[in-house]
Amino acid sequence: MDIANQLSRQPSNRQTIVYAGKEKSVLAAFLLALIFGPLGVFYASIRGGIIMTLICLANVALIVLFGSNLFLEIIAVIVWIICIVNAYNAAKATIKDMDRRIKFRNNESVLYKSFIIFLAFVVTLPLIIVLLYIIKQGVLQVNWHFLTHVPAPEGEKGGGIANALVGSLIIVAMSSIVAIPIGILSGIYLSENPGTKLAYYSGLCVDILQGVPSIVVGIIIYFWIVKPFGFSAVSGSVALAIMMMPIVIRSTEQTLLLLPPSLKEAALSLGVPYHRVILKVIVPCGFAGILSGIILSIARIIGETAPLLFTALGNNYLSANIAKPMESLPHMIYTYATSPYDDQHDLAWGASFILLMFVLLLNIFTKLITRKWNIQL
Amino acid sequence: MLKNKRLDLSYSQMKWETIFRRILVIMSIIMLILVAGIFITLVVQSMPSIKTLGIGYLWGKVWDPVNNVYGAYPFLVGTLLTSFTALIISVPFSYAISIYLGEYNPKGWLSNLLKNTIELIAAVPSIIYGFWALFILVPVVRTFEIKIGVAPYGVGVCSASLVLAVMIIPYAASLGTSLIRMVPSPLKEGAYALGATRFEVIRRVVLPYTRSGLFAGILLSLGRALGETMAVTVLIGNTSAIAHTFKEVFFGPGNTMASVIANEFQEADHTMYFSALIELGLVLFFVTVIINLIGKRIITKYTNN
Repeated sequence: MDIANQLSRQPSNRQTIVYAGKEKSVLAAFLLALIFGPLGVFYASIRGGIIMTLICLANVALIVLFGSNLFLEIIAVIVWIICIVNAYNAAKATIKDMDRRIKFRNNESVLYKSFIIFLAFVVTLPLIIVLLYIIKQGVLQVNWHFLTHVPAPEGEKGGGIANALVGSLIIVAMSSIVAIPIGILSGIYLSENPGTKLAYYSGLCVDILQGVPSIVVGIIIYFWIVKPFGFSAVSGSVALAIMMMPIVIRSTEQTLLLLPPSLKEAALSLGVPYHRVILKVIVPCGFAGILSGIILSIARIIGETAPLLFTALGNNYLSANIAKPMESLPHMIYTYATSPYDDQHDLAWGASFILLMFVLLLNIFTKLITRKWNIQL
Repeated sequence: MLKNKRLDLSYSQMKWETIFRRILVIMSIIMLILVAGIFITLVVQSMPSIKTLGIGYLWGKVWDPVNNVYGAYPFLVGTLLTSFTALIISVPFSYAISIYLGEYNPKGWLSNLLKNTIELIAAVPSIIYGFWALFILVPVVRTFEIKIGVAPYGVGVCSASLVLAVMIIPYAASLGTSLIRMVPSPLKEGAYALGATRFEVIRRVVLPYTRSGLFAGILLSLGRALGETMAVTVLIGNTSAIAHTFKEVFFGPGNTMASVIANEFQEADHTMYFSALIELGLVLFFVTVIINLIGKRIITKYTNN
């Protein structure tokens, strides 16, 4: 209804206004406005040209008065763009012949479509460049030695990333153990009791947690765990678990809400107790969705560096002691990427390659699961 | 009295049922406790700096831990500048992707391929973007800076916002795609029936209808950009001094709130320094939370209608 009003309010006769002057070339109007700004608008319409020139003069006066600053510069750019749009529309309105006008509008539509397609596909370029470069740099580094040895001392060749690999796996496994049960259960609560006050506030908190910057989570865990007990792998895991929970909760909730209510009703009418209905009927039915949420959340947190900076710290040696600092892949990439040694850069490229492969495989795996079970997240 | 075994069974099941319900409630309460805990910890730990520095902290222009002078202005400027530059660069692209996947080509292998590729952009860890950009993008930016005649730092706000722009495109794009697909087809068909071209349908029907939703997507992207830490920390150059002209600020090194925390948190050696850093975290937390909540509110309002 609203949109219908809006459409009717659009001055549909705007395009049929016939100016007294003769027909003008749209291309020329566009180019003139692009190059000369407000002065170029005069070609398309005198009135528009006068208005835009006055606005521009006012802006110039302000710049002269207050000196050039960012705000006025931005306004100047916006005014320029408005000039171009004005000139374009005014010139378009001067086309009198119906056939030519339709032709023009069709061309406009095709041009717009190709522009959109161009922009949409250009975005994939950076990703492809990054992927190819990381693979090119990383593949050369990876071999058995690389995967099974700890990094060589600074300035020496060789060494590997065994400590980071093991550390990352341990930290992520521990955070999964914490986050998955909590996430699934509270996701079940949210989907089972959508109207209650607790569900409302809990959902709000999940939204908030999802938006908390990762560095803030690191600070919090520093005070909760690191200050009393010292730097440890456990603290890193808890930080990552906090980042992981909202994703698991939301995916569980979304999946369970998609299941037909008759499923639950059928089970309940057979006299099955509530907890068994949830655990034996509802959760298995939504298993694919929940699983893909879990895998996605793991893919998300395995690359998180910021929460580990002040919690799991880093460790140059292979260690499986979860009460001590532990190295992880992203943290290793960060330290070695910013170090001055070329050998360490090589290690970092290799580590990036491994991390990237992990993340990509997890993502592709999720895609396959959701496709097979045909569940939309 | 007759002993009913079935009743016994159902009693024990009743017990399990209440326990199960309680566990569910407790798990949800954990979320509330977490958020409240985060907020309280941040406020308590930044108390010393809030008390001494007051609200003037936010526009103090000097950050000098050695002399115990703290002002967040350089970081606020750095954060806002990188985020908004990234946002301005990313908006045309995310709009284009939304329109292409939502309107021009909603089905088929090509659209699936593009959709999955865009999702992969969000999946690549930010530290990898930072590492790649440090070795590939920064030299490119440096040559560009030499050409236009500013100090060739390479690292700085410009490089950081370029990488940030790529990283935040998927958030607005995926939301926009699903919203544009939800535009009721009678509206579009009506416009086509009146003789509108495809461009005019998108311009006058689809975009006005989805305006608030697309805006929410941009807000979510902005929330991401503000909180993004690692890629920015690697690329921003890390100086707390603030340059005078806009050109120097934009092409020179700077600092964002997240990057200054990442860099200086472990060096902080006295209480004031520490709590000043945590106050930065508090500000960051507030801003991102508010932006995210507004975005989510708009989306729920939009999808419910």
